[in-house]
Amino acid sequence: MKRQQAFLLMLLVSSLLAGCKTEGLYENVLAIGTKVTLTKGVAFHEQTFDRVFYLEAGAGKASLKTLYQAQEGENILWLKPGESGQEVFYGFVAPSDPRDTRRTNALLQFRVKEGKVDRYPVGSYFDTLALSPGGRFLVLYHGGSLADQGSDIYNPNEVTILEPAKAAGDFNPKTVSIGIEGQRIEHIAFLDSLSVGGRSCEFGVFMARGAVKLIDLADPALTGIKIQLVTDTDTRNVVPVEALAKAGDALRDPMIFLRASGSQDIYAVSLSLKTGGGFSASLNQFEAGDTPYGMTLVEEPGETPTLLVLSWSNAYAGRGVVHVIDIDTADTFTISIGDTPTRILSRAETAEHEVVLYGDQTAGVHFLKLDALSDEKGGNLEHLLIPERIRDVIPLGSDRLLLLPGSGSDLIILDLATRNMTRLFSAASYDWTQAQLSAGRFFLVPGGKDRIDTLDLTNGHPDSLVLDDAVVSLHLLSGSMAGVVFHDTPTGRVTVFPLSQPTRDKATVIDGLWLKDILDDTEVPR
Amino acid sequence: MKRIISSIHNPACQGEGTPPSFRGTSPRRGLLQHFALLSAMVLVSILLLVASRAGAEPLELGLDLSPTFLQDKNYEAFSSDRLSSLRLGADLRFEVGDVDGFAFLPMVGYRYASDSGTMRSMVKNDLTLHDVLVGLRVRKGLQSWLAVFAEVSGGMLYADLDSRIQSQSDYRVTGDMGTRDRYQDHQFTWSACGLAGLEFTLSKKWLESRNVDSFNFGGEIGAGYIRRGDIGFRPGLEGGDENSLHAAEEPSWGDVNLSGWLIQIGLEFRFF
Repeated sequence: MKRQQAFLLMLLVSSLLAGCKTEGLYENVLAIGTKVTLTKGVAFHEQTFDRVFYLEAGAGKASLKTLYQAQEGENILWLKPGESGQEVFYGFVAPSDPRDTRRTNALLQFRVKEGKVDRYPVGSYFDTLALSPGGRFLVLYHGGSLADQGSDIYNPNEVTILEPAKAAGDFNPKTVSIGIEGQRIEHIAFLDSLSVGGRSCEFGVFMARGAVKLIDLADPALTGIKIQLVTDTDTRNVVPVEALAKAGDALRDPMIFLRASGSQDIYAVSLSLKTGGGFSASLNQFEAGDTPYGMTLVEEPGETPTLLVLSWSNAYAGRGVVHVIDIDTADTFTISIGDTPTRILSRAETAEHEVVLYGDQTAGVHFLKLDALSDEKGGNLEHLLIPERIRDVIPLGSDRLLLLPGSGSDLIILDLATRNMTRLFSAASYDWTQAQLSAGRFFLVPGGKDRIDTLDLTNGHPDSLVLDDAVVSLHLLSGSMAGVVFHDTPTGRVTVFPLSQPTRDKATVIDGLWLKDILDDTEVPR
Repeated sequence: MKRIISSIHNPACQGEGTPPSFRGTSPRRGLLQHFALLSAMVLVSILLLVASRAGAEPLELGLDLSPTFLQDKNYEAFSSDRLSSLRLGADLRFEVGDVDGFAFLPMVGYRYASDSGTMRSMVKNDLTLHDVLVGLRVRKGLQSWLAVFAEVSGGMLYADLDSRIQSQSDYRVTGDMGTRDRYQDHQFTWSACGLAGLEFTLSKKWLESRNVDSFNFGGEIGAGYIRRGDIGFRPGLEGGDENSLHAAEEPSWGDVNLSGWLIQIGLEFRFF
């Protein structure tokens, strides 16, 4: 009897002690990786438990939900934004163990609005994603130097092409190897829809050293044509960097213009359809100064289209010129800028009907009217000079440029439509390339500070939204017209404010996002 | 000294930014004081009631230590283990009758427990529990110095959560002095407890031999189970100062259940 009592007592004590054993349920700190700004929220990779969160935010409110939890045996490798203005973004997952043959690399398409995740298995690891205008086609390729996971050998010209609007199937996605004269793909560009011999084509331009390959992505057979830009004996490092398309008309076949680094020419490709299918191309070259920096196509009703190429020319003491090229005859005349601009911005659709020429290390911004261009030959060139010279120019969108003059701390907002310049003084050092524009305001985050600096572009009024915590990142949501600031707290904290009124009395701190439902027994890790 | 509000300055504009807003403090903190006051009033009232009937029924005061082994693993968020170890309290009992050797003692009791745990490595949770119980103890004497008892009770649990973000710089996160780094919540739920055990007192004969007839002293040991309702925490963000930004209602942390097995060890003071 005494033995039984002792046994029962020991059983009771051991069960009580076992009940006290802890499991470390709450020791994990969430690690926030890549963030993708969408129109009504911010999606981000939570690395500790390898999942994708979506923080939906509006003025004064924010809610967090899990969009995706990495499956057992797979890792989320990256997230990238989708088409601008859409609640869609992409992710890439790969098996965590290269020996695991049951799982494969896959592209994930997150459709936030529908709350769905589409999975497209792909054979290789890709680190770069390109979307065609409108988002109809998506191309995965090796943009960096990373090899296929688990293998030291990989094909840099292997790409995966898919139509995100269609479900995964036998031909979606398609993985192909793009052969371009033994060269590797350096860039991918997409052209506007072109009609070639009555066939509507969606061309992807795969650019390599000395050659390009045009592939009609809309064709299930992926019909393409390779165009060699240089001869076999040409040792120059000619790499296309820009492509423009011109639709065909009654007099001309559709054309593609290519600008290439390492070349003084612009390459004009006329396309036609062969009788047996496939494309044929004829190549012309336009001389375009010594160093072409940019180009734009000008098409006026009743006139021969002209190609404007901005380049630097030794014939003009190494300064900038605009080559105005008749695309039919290749007749060219030049307009000297007298400065060293490197960028050309078309404002042909505006009332001013002009192109803007600007760049870093210039004396100012230059405007070239497109009306009667061949008659004026530069007589209608307008210069807006800055006394201190410009050391950096950043396009702000909304038809404005940010000019950083001299070596001081001044900055100038230039309204291209009115030519009005607002000069401001900055006491802080900003990363101006991270400047964001919304609701007529310019938003800046000074590094390591607890505030957002704003500039009202309608009246030039600067202000600061001083917050209670240091800013990690700022996201402007165009759909909900709210700004979201992430802070670095273990509890998960954001500050939300309306973009139309970025003031403290309208800002709201929302905390505890990483603690939401942490006490509940769910399948979602804590 | 003039504070630089903005690092961008437009010489043509005279504005200096928006003046800071003010915020009120949470009224929930006052609940704890109200609860403690109410509990004290109940205990004092009963004490006065019993005192007014002095000489009529024996009165007992128990001082107890009752570690509780909580079943819900989520208690780890509030403790380094799942043992609510600091459960202290007192009971007031008085005998109202004796039927066939079974003494009936209505009781009112109070228990206090406090524990600390950590979430996300840097959020320190201090949880304080206050139980107020009303119940009945039934006692059967085996010897003049030994008795067995069984007790059932029920009442309310008041849980007070006070959390802070800890950092290497001691309770501070980066940012200005207005940073809010504290969370508070207070919740009520029901509780019911069953307990059985042994009581030991000094022998009546031994006391009589020393002419002590109005007092006895002893101890008790027992075991039982306390069942409590779920507590859903939704702490509010506190701290900062009057210039801190407005804080929205926090997301819910979810529920925790504080039910569990308990052992009770105590001292008894009996007044006749």
